[in-house]
Amino acid sequence: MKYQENPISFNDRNELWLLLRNGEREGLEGLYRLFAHELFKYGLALVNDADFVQDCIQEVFIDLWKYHQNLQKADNVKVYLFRSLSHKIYRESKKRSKWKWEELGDEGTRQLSLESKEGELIGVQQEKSLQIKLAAGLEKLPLRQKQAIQLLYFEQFSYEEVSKMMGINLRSVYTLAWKAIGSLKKYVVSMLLGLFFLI
Amino acid sequence: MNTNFMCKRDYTTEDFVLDPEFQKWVLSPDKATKTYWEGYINENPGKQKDMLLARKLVVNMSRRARDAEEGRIEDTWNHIDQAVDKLQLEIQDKKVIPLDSSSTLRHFESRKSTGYNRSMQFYRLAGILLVAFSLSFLVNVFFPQPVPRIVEIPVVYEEHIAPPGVKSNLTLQDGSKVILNSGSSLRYIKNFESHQRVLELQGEAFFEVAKDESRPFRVKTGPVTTTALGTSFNIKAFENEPLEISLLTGLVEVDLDLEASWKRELEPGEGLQVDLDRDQVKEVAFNGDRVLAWTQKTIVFDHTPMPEIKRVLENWYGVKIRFSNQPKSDLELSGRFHDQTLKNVLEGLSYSARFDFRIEKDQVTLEFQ
Repeated sequence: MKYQENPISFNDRNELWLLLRNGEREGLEGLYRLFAHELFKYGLALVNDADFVQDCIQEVFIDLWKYHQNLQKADNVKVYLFRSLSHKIYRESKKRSKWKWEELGDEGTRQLSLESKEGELIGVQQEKSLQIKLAAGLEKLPLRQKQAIQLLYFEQFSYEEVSKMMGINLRSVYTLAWKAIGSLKKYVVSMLLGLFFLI
Repeated sequence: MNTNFMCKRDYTTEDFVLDPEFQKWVLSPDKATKTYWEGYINENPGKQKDMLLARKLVVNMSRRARDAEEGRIEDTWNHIDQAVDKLQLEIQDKKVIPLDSSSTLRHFESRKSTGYNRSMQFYRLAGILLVAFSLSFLVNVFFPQPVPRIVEIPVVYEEHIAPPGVKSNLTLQDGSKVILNSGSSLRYIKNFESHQRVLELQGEAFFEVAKDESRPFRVKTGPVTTTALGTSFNIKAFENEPLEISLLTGLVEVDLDLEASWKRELEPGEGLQVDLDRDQVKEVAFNGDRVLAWTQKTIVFDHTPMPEIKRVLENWYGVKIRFSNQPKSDLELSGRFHDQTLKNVLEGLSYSARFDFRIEKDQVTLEFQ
């Protein structure tokens, strides 16, 4: 999962970054093309509103251009972009605090595919209904908790990287994730109880 | 191995789920993780239930994955592209775009030396210019250039230095007010750039930023950049001391570029302390009165270590302080001095710190007892 994400090597991203810093538009476009899908996926997992996510991504890249003269050498371009998008989504969503989660409900699930770690699993039985419940539960979490889980678990960033992206210390990242898992745990427990009664 | 089990002895379901090693064991076990977690269960048989639950969570953890359609991705890029076009135009309006005048002039120069007659020369040049203009016009119409050529306007820096013993009040061209503490300096591009106001600070200053949303106000102190739109804040950035940013009104954004960058917004009453040597950032609630005391002729020490006291007094009074023997390394002093002479300050401090002092012109010697 970690290695298949992009056929493009780190050098390419860094070269694009360098182009951007030198004020070359090819650099901006290259970075966009390289990360657009991943950024959209991440954004949409946080906020189920494609127009909103699109606005945020647009602004991230426009800012990138606006301030390209002040950009530093980036050690990890991907971390930088995810960080900017996380920041943007968090700030913008605070402004428009009303999301209509409920409207989407379970009907939304039908057109969406579930993503989990099954690709890597060998001989492990997954339970589809539990997965659907967990995915729905994840969406109902507060934004910051959701962000922590998305970044740590699905985007596979390290705790250190997530702490930098979210602008909070390591301990807070852990606490957020811990709370999130605590809420998700309920679904598994109720599932186990349900099975028990069936027998 | 055993000590490792120890620290995980109190693990809850949540902790197991969040432990990368545990995830690895569940999702793609290898020999090492297998041995480790089997050893763990043997030592902590009571944890088996939590581990089962955690495993179920790790295995089934899912998200609804939505991919954006190609159309949207293209659409987003077009919006970005247009916005960048607009930005470029704004820059273009403000900078000089020559029609390659230097080469035309050089051309003219070389012709002149061959001794053609003057009026002939004029028509010739007019003709060349006309052709050049219309050509460039056509080129621009048919092959719009993505990045216009921009000639660098030579950058002139303005620098203010407040030497030790002097504080200075500045009003910048944009109307922002700065109080520069003694022993500090401020440098910026004259009249600022068109899209931002960047200042480099060494030492300490208090800023009251004039509102200008189109040009963010940025103060650079080494790898730390503080950005404001219309606020007042204090920055203290002396060498070998933690950097302090304190916000009084409005909102600022602090960008640290240590190994990778990090951003944090500050709200009034919040402060950040950055220890560049140790790569540490601390959030501190600050006392506005204390932070700004220096702008009101007041020195405040609050559990301040001796090296910082030395720096403050040297800058404040424009003297050199020498310790004839080393003070205890943990010596910290407190005190508040409003508009006092150096002698009075030292006298005040000497009661609690127990030192003798000698002032000879601008040389001060402290001897600790």
